[in-house]
Amino acid sequence: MGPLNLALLRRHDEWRVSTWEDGEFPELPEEGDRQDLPASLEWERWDCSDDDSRVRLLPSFPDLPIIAKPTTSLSIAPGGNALFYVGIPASIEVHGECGADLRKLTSISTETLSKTWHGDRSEGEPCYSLRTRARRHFEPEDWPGHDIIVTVDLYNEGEDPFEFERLFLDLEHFSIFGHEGRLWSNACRIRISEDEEEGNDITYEPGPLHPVADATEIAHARAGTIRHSSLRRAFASVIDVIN
Amino acid sequence: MTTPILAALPAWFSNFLESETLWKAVGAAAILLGGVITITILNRVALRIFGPRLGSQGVMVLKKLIRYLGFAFACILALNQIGLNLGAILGAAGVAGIAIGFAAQTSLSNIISGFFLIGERPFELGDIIEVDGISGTVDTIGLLSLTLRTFDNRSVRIPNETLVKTNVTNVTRHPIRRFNLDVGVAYDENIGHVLSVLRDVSEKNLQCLDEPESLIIFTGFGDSSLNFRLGAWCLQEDYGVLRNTLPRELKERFDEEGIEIPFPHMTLAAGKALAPIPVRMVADADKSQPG
Repeated sequence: MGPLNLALLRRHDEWRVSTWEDGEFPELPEEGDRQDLPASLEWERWDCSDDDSRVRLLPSFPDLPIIAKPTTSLSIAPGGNALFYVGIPASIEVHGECGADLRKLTSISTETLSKTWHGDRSEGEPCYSLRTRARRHFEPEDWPGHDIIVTVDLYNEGEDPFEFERLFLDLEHFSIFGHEGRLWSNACRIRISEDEEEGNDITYEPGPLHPVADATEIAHARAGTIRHSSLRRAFASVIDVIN
Repeated sequence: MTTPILAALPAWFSNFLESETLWKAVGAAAILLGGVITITILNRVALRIFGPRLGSQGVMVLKKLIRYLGFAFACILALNQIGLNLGAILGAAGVAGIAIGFAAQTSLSNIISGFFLIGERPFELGDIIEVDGISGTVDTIGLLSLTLRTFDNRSVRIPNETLVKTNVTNVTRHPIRRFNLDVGVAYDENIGHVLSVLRDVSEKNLQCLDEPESLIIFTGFGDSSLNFRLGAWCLQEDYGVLRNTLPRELKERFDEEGIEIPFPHMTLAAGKALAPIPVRMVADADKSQPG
């Protein structure tokens, strides 16, 4: 998936998983013997029973919130709204059968994301940074196949134009849907209030927007599905750089 | 009921049981036992009430304070129960206290400094601090001193008084931290190009945070180099990795770009400024000399 290659082996009552990026090793066939794999692969191992053979791969969101920045900032007029498509590189959850139950073995990101900080220098939380993947229109060729497309509808409730430069998105309440070989999340709508301290209301739709509204749910939201939430300082560029 | 039973016992034993001393001793023991139970209960109640506000250091000191004062009070009550003249003991203790006070000025100073530290809370158990050039993790916090576990696993005891008097740097108080990397390049290099390479290296490093943005500045003209500072922000837990990876990545990138990191050098001039240094061929000099 994307730049990520994954080898999964069931051997000596163990599940073994190894990953490498494109270009690290010569091209390998999609199916083959253990002997075909490079000897220098590093494996992670999990104990299982003799008869365990089932395996399931599920897409998931990265383990940290993300901060998405459009290529250039956009001004949203008072009372206006703007729809954005944000592509978030999926992670792969590997579930293997262990004693008749499927157990999550590991989660691997398809792409290495750079980290950033949301908050001031004394308090905040680490996030992943997406620099150029907030777009106004969905053109399939713009998005790699391993991206999960999140649609964000911003609505400016304030009386002043709103400069959209960055967006903090907590991914815990997004589910993942599949449609024609692509991954989508349920859509969300964010109300931009006048006072940033109040926070920004976020409404989660039950599924993706048209034209992929009939997509099938593949993975449930990690922290469960909710209808409304509040994002504290979703758009704040809070760090003052004092050198 | 008791008289027939006592009558059946040997005379010395029944005399012992009827003696006042025994019951005084039993009373004193009961007071001590009650004291231990009361101290335990008091400790728990105090920790529940004050614990969240005091922090780990305060909690440790509060526990010790309640224990020592409680035991002292229980002992006084027990001695009183036995019938000792407490006035004389306390009087003697007062005189001894003055003498001990003079002798134990440092200890008292440490204890009082400990109270200041509880109020101020400059660090907690598990924080990494730097005191007088010694860095390590705060291992234990006591009434008199703090124990620091250094990174090479030595245990250093630092008196509380020292902590109040000297500069204490808490390295892990804030969740993010900046790593400053100073680097010099040859005078031939283009400053703008070097700045853009520094920016690119920090952006590509996996531990370096995008925000706060890295500090990248030209710091001045050195003796042998143009000097720059790259200040890269990272999460506390990534600091060690960043410190290892960033200089290596920067050196590799400088090598790729052909940017020279100069070593300190000195230009020698003889007499008039920048006039060449006269060189005499040694072999010719040897030939010209007779013999």
